[in-house]
Amino acid sequence: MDIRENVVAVMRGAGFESEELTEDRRLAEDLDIDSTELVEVVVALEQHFGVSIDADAEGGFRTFGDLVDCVRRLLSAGVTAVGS
Amino acid sequence: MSVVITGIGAVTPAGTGIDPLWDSARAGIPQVAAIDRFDASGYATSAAGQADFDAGAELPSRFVKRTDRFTHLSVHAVRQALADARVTVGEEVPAERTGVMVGNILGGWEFAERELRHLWTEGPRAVSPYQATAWFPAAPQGNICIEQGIKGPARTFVAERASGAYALIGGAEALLRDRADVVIAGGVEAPLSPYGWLCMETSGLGAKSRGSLGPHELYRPFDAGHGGSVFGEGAVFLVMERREHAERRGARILGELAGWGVSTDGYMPYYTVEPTGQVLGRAMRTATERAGIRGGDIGAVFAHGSGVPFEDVTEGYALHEAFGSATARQLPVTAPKSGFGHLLGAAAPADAALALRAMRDGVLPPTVNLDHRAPGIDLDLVAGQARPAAGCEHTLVVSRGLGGVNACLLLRR
Repeated sequence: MDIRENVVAVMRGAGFESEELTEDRRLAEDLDIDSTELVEVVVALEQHFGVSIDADAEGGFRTFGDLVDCVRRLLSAGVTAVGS
Repeated sequence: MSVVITGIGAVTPAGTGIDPLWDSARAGIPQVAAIDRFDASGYATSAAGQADFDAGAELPSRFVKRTDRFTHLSVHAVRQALADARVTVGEEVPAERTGVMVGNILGGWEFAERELRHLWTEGPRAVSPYQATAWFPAAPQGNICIEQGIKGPARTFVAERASGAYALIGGAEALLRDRADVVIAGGVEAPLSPYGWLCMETSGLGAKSRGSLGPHELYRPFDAGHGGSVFGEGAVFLVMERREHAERRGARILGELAGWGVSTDGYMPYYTVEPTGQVLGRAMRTATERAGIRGGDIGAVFAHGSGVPFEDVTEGYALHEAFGSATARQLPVTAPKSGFGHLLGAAAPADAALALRAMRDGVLPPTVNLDHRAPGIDLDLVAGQARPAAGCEHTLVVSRGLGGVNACLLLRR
């Protein structure tokens, strides 16, 4: 499974375009994602990948790459929560 | 100091913009039809005024996803109103001196219903986090401010079917108190979801479907066959300014909101209205006096015309109370909303927009479906076809709601 492509697919479902999703794009400043939309994205990622992401850790996400890294880390480690 | 209207935006069952709404009303073309938005076969009223508006084609997909239809209709209508007035917030007027006033009744139930379904079937994690901000009646107000970069006074008025009239009055008062230089004021309603429609049905105000009448014939203000309103969805917004501000920037002036009056029946049972029309009549008289005119100077009345028998009759009584029977019998009265549906929070702004066109063009649109006058209605009703009204300088717009909320507007050409 290409994790990055799957994250892109999830975010496309939330209304984003593939072209705007590059690793260094900042979630707030570049992608205009507010805290509410971040909740939506994180829940969609949880459901898609079958993982659990600690809500307290979400504030640490700054770029699209951070989201991909988080999912990759959770899947490879087999853990169910970031920051736990 | 006076308040003038310099722009109009509308999304209604007649189409997008004020032109199709006016053309349809003037010709008396019925726009009410059988509901196809959802399965309404189990409802007492299965007809409505539906707006053919595709939010996905007009607004960014992420915005559409996080907001309800009533926000979509509002944001689009406000864009049109500002364009019509040739105002860009931050250019012709500072953001801090621009205000927004919105009338609404139900909130955004299409969004809320979908998310409640997710809650019951899939659990709380399946609910959109935008549920918190998408459904409530002030959501359009907030999203209009964000979309247009508005930073001045903003308010939402929830006063049942008089909500939109209250929003226009709120806009005028903000201008006269020098809280803003431009106010976008109007109303919106999107009642066409299974639960929203059920709320309208249980209100007891809706016309029940009858085998003898087609969907477009159900809404019959002042007619002997009146049995309630047929509701519709839509958004209508007006751009309002103090006259000197509008003149200074060379704006095209569409008319003036010259007076207004509000009153509350305080009547039990609260789901009906005060039976003599005295309290509604006081709001009519206050609006007229504030404009510095007399009842006989009114060229037309855009009646609330709900088609609810008790409301129709008492609206007639109120005109007699306000202006005396001799004058009241001579006022041309029309309720063109029976053609496109009662737009609830957007009803009074739609009537105000139509009244401005009627005065400009010197013609009064007819009340659709008025074939045989109901007993007890002693008024000069405009029925059948449009009536010439070349000398019409003033129009009274009547709006009222459950609980006896009355709000009347006096528009000057």
